[in-house]
This record gives sequence, structure tokens and C-alpha cells, in this order.
Amino acid sequence: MTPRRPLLLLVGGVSVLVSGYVHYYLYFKGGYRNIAPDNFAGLTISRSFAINAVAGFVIAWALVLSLRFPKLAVPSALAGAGFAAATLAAYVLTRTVGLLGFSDDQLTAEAVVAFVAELIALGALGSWLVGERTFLRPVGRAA
Amino acid sequence: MAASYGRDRGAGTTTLRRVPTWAVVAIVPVVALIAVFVTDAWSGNGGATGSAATADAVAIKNYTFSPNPITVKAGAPITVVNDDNVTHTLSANGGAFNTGDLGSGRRDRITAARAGTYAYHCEIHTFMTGTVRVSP
Repeated sequence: MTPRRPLLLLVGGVSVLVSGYVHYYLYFKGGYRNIAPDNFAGLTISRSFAINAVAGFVIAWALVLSLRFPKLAVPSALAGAGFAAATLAAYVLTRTVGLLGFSDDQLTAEAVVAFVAELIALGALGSWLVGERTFLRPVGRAA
Repeated sequence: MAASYGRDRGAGTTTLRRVPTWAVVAIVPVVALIAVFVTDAWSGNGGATGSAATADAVAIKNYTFSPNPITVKAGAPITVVNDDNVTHTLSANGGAFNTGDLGSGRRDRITAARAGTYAYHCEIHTFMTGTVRVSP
């Protein structure tokens, strides 16, 4: 079995993976490994990059697996859309009021790649979820 | 929920069914592993820079000033090198010296004329701080 409109899930998965990779790269190679001006319940801006990288990998994997295991499709699409929205929101915060004590309004190639990937992920997975919204209703009310 | 699966299938679905399950399961981990290895080989170990090896130079790398603190004689110039890929500054808290905006790969020289201890920071990333000790 394959969920309907699998291309949107695939595009979403690739985009989430790209975003996670950019955060992996910035954490290990881009100097974001030891930045911790503020700490909220153990979460620092550095750790948020590491968490983003791991989450991006796991969600992208789930999205690709959902092409063969359709029960994964809705939760992984929800997770992917949430991941993209949260990452975009965090980026906007770092460019405006700051997040976990870190702010930077400089535009880098990594930021552009991640930003575009997250927009694509949000668009693709959001579209897929809107198209599948009947799945989210109780069975008795589904059209 | 699953009742609707199987309807409205297009040509893409037919193509996907031809891909073996093991390939679907393995593709993301394999791509991620390749990306990690390629990144590691391409960008080196990401370790310390060698551009500020002398005692009168401060390197900015990974959002950190190094060495920190640095000790110099009064009037001796300190070379500041930005090895990050974003702009930084090295600015004394009291205004005694300031590189101004120092783009990626750029360098500048600062001088503290009088003996004392000078705290400094990056004006763009204010969590980046350091100290210059100036001996007579």
C-alpha cells in the first residue's frame, strides 16, 4: 500500500532531511557547538541545533517509510510540518528578538538553504495534510 | 482511516510499488551517512585555527576568542583574525579599541596604549567576551 499523493510526502521528507543536515553541519562544522549564552531547562542554542539535526533525520526517515507503511503517513507528516514550522519560527526569533540568548541578523548560505527547505517542507506536508484531512476526523463522520 | 488508501492512485504510486521495501527503509540512513562522511572529509576536523599562533594575535573561531585572556605589552599591536563565516567585532567594553565589523577571513589590528586589564566583546554577538591584559 502507498498513501495518496506520495510525491508530497517524499518532497517533505527530503526537505526536512536537508534542514536537519544544515543544522548538523552548523553544529559540528559551523561553530554552533559551544554557544550557550542562555539555558532554559538544559536547552541551549547549541543543543537545539543538535536536537534539530536528530529530529530532522528521524522525521525524514519516517516520511520515506510512510511511502511503504501508510499508517506512518499522518503522524510523520504532522511531525514534519511541525518541525518545519518550529524551525522557521526559531530562525525568525534569532533574527529579531533573539532565542536562548542568541541573535544574529547576518544572512549566510546555510541559513538560506535551511530556510528554503523548511518552507518547502511546510508547503508540501501542509498540502498533503489538508488533502488528507478526512483521515483526521472520527471514522463515523468521514466523508 | 485506511479505507481511503488505494483510491485515486496515480502513476507515481505504481512506480513506488516497484521499489523494494529494503530500499525504502535504507535510503534515508544511507544518504545521511554519506552526507556525514562527505562533510567530514570536505571540511576537515573543524578544529583550532593556526592563523593566530603568535602571542599577539587573537583568532575568532566558532564564536569564541582565542587565546583568552591574552597578555601583551603596552602599545604592542594585537592582530585580530576572523576565521568564522560571519562578521564579528572585537570591541573593548570601555571603548579603548574596536576592530569594527570584521568580515569572514578579514583581519585588523588593535592597540592598547596603557597598562591594565581590558574586557572586550563582540558587538554583534554580545555573548562573546574576552580579556586583554596589558603589561607596562
